[in-house]
Amino acid sequence: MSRRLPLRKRFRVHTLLLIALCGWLLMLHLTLLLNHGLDAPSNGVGDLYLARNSETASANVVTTVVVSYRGFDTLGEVTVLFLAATGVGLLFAGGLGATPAFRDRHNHPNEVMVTGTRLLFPALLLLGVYIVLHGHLSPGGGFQGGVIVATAFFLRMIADPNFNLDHAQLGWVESFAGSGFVLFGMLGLVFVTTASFLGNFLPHPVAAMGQLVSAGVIPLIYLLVGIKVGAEIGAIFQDMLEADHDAPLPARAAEEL
Amino acid sequence: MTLHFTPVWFIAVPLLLAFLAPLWVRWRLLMPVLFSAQVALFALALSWIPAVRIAPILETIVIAPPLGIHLHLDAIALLLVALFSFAGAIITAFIWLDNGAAHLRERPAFILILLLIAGSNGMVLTGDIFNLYVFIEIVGVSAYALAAIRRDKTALEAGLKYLIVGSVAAIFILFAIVLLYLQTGQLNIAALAQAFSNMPAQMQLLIGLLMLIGLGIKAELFPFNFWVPDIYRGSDPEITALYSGVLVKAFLFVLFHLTFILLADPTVARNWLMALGAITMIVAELVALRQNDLRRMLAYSSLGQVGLITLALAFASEATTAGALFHMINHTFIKVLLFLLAALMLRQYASLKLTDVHGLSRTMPLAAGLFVLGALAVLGLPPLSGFISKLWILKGFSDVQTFWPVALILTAALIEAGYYFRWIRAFYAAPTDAASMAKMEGEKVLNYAPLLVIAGVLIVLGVAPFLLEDWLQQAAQALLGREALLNAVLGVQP
Repeated sequence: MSRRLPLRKRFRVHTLLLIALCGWLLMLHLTLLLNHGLDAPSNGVGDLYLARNSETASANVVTTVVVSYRGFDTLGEVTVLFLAATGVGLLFAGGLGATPAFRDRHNHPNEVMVTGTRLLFPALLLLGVYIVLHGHLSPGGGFQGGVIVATAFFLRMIADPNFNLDHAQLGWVESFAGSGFVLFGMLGLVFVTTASFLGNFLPHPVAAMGQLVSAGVIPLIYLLVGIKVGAEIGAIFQDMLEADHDAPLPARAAEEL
Repeated sequence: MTLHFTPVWFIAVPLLLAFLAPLWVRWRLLMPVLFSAQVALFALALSWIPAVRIAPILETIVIAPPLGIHLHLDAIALLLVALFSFAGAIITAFIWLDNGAAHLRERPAFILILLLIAGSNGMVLTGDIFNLYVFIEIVGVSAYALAAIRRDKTALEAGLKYLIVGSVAAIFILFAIVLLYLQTGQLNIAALAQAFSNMPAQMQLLIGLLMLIGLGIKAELFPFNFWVPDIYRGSDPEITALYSGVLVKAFLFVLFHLTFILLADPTVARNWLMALGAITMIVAELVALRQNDLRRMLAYSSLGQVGLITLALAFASEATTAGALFHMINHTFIKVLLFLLAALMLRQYASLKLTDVHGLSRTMPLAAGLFVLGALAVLGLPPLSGFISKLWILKGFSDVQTFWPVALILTAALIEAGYYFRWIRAFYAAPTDAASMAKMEGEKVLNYAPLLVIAGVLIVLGVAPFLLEDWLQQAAQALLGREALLNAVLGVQP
């Protein structure tokens, strides 16, 4: 619609002013942050978490904070991602659970892409799984590893037009991981020793810190987060690829806007 | 091993049910699960009343506050959680019984509605400011997607607008939280409240402004509410009932909760917030007078009521706060009723313009009758509950010799009467076009069952407001009781 309008009507003055205002606010905010962020108070919550970290026996403090101390926030963030995936599925494809539409088979990917993916796919998969499983030991964890695994599958989707992720199966995997997270949280509530949602009810001796099997429920929850994130991002990629080709009704309506 | 019923159930159970959605799809149980979840949470909320009456309940998650996240179930939180669950149950029952709007009975709608209400519960329960932000995001993302769920042109436009405006608001809130953390090193709201007065005055002002803009956009306060009518016009009326009934109330609570907790002396912000409320009310009512589309009119009317509630809450006296909370409940019921009626009318009429609905009472007598009831309740006519809540607010103001809000509220009610009666007159006028009557079918009483429940509640609360009076007084004390909250969470006298 806007394509036919003359230039001066497309760039309205108040839009430009609004952009300038936003830019000014951003600069102001950055100045504030840089002035105050460098000499941050040293007795904040973060330092107290650091001091108490040994009680969870997780070698990676960030993971302790993300999965245990503020695990409730993480559950919320996983939910936000879940909602975003639901929304994308709703808008791009024919909704979740619909039969996958076939992509354009005449569009052959080039040789470099195919060979490169063949080389990269196993390595990426391995790296993703490693990062998820070692979330409590080394940097990274469920979110990062999950996205890497999903990226591996995304490369395969691009390189091989016949490769589709099945929405229904992804939905089940995602459902398993998400409800597992909540159930772990509720188990923490049920056990008298922790009596708190997301409490670490499995034994987590400090002596085992740094080993693969340590830190109680933390690696298990992070594994579930990894599975869920991977499945959701994979579903988003799949939705976008499907919508790309046979533009169903809503996508066309979106273009009209 | 024991089974604890704790406040976290209000959040964890809906999350679990939403994640298990493929199961409910397979067993064809989506709507029963959604409905019974809301009913169960409402029952759970009611079962908490005796305990919360004695003392607020603090639930620690993993580690104790101020380090960890905790949920704080006091009288006001319980009141709102019960209200949200009840409104959710009514809207769900309506969607379930209604034979139109199939897209609202599918899996995405199930997930989004369930999580919208769960997120609102989380917003009123949490005692941690970053956790609050997470819930704002949950509520926001589900609301954006719900706006677009019909997937036609107007719905997608509404969804896109909402996405952009809502994200900007969320960024303002996040900026404020970042600054708060940088200044104090704390995330617990009670601990922040203790440290807030030690900050430089300019920083306090900046954080306050950022919060006000962010939450003002979300809670639909003037001048940040320019986007509201478009979204209310574009989305399904069932969804706008959720926005007006649940979402806005949760954000209003957050705005005033933070104001009353963070500021040692809430009178600092009193005049500003009261002015904001008064302007929102008057402007919205005046604009509503000129609307020719039922849904836009209802949107502006909703804004006007939000302004009234803001005006009364900002005064920060116990009497007006109790009245405002009662009005919040009434407004939720009334707007759910009116928007669901609009949904029913949309099944029969192609458009809800004033000129197109002449003679609606001939084909939908029950709908027209319920609309009159809802309109009278908004205006505050006895014996409906809107009368009592407006009376409490007016009494609260006049008891302390503050008369300008009284004058404004009465003026707004007059304007309201003007436009609601315009619509009622159209409904009961002679039909202009005989041909449009051809496709009409009789009304199904089953569709109206949830609406009749609301109508009953409006009358019962109007006749017997003492049912809620104690609870509302306690809720008002809890909302205003800064010392009690700091004491409960931190265990120290501030």
